[in-house]
Amino acid sequence: MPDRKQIISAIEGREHLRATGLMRQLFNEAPTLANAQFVLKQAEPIREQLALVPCRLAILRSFTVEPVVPIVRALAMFHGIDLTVHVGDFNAYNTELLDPQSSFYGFNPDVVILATQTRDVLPELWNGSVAAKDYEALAARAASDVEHLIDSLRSRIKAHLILNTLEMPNFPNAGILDSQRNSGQSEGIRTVNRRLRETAAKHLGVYVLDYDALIARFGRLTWGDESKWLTMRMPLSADSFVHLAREYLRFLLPLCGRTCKALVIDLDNTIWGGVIGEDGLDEIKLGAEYPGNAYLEVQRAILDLHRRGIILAICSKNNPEDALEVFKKHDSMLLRLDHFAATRINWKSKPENIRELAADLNIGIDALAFLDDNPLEREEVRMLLPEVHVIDLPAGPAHFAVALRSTPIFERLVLSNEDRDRGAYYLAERQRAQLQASGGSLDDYYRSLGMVVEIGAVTTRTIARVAQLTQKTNQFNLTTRRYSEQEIASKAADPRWSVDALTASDRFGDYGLVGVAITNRIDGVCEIDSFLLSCRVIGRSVETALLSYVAREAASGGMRSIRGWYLPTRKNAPSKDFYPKHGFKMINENDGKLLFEHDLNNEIGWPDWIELRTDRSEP
Amino acid sequence: MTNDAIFEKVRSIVAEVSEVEVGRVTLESSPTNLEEWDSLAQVNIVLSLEQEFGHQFSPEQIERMVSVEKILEVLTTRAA
Repeated sequence: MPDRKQIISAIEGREHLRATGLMRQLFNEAPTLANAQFVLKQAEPIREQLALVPCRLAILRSFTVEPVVPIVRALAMFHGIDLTVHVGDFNAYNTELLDPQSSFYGFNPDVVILATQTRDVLPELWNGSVAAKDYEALAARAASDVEHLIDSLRSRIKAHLILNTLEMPNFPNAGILDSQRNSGQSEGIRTVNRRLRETAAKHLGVYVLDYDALIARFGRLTWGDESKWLTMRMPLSADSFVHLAREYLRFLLPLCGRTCKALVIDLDNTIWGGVIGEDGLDEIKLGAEYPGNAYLEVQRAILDLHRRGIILAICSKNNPEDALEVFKKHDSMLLRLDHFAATRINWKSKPENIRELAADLNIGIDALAFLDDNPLEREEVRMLLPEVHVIDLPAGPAHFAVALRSTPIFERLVLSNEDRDRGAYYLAERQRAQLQASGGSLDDYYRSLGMVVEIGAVTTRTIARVAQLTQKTNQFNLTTRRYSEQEIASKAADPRWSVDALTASDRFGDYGLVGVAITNRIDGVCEIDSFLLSCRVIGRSVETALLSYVAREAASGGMRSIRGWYLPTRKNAPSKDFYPKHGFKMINENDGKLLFEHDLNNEIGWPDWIELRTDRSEP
Repeated sequence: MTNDAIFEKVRSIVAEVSEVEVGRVTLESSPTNLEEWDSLAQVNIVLSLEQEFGHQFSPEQIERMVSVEKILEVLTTRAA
């Protein structure tokens, strides 16, 4: 374990990469409250260099949660988030949410966690004094109380809200009789939790943290500590706070856009045991017996990520024919080559290959995670590509799958159709690349794609994906304004605003919903608030099609001109020339921010190899 | 751990949690004479001591821990 003096000297030497590496290691090995406080204090002078995204978290609670604050702030910092935390008054969450003058609203949070426990929310259920026939009525009342709080929150701010499920008692009041019938105390709690989920699902930006499952995962009897509860009203034991903080992080990462899009995996001793180039197909370990079954579990965990929309790629030091033979011939392989969007099987260094993979997949290096059993390879990637999220693995394969499943960097709060089908997109993409490589002019290539786009106003069905695109798109994004689902919904409902979504497909497959244009109209001028395109379709003139559509709609709505800002970020240089390339003139420049304008008497040409379908029949 | 080492450990935890210089924390420090040692700091001190010494305190022990001196008493007489 790194000692504190090493960290202090790295920080004094302004070696912020080494310092954060050491701090992360210290905290991972001893995730105590004292270490969290130490790390936060030491990191103060290097915070600037860490390029953190700000996030304001309010924890409204019914019990003492304060020790979680430094821990979740330290964890967030390691994941690129500058977390400011407000803790509500003790058991005052109702009044804080209902009173517009409360310090909670003054804090103006981005995310709100309602940290409650059964004995505070429904003491009668905790005490076992509710009759089974009254469970439904009790659950309905609890749901309507929550509904009321959500309405109050929504009428004032657009923050995301995270509700907790009620936890089961360690010992149900009827003992083992509780599980012999459907009328026990735990059934009462399950009834309330079901209603709570239904209530959350009705609202955009309201999510459920399964507090009961969290406690069960780590063990009910050690989660709590009666001594501290009875003396200080603190129900959790000292070591539970880090688990609580990690659970909060699983929500904060997707809400702050700090998740990874792709997982790059090693092969030998990572997804099978042994080295294929030395051991051969018959000797590698993969199958029903240990350690082969441990590697099967790893493959299962990777497949689950694939289904969640995580792009997979291979980076392995091997002769390609040896490694590919395993995919083609080994009976126990769960992963197939068509699960992978890109592969690098060669003898080059891993950082070099990973850089190429990022370019191949057209995603930023910081959107990649790396899984490798070899600590030396992990260290090399950490040193040379500090943006990559390197997943730490324990020494033996038995716990590889759990290590992969417990990392918060692949969490998603909503799953769009695009997420589910992402694997297929990248397969089609490889076929497109082969077509392009087969020669011919760019025009011929475009024509041969047979691209069809559909453009129309955002609908309830597409709102999650539209918000997700505003939050995740970095490269082709003119203004990089991030919007929640609620914000998109309120713009769509405002007659001065338009939120248009573009879906695309070609003969190789569907791209899904990949483009968004958000505009408003004031005094004859249509201003483009947001204009973005998923990296999947950049370079196929779909961006021209969307701009042409927006301009034509503005002109037919009586607008004289169309304007748009280019707001530079660290990543959106690819969109810098977009407006001038389409005949816009620059009319304002301010600190790198460029404002462009175009006279709507001049049409913006539609690329004639793209077919447009408009669909306005939907609500 | 010697009693001196335990004292230094307790001092540094009290200082870190209450966000004061170590020099301000003495054997006599308590919530009544150290303003920063409020009820919230008390919770964090108890937690940090549990993690540092790998010991879960009983309610009676928690209630006795109201000064650096009393904390040392609890720690040095705790069951091994």
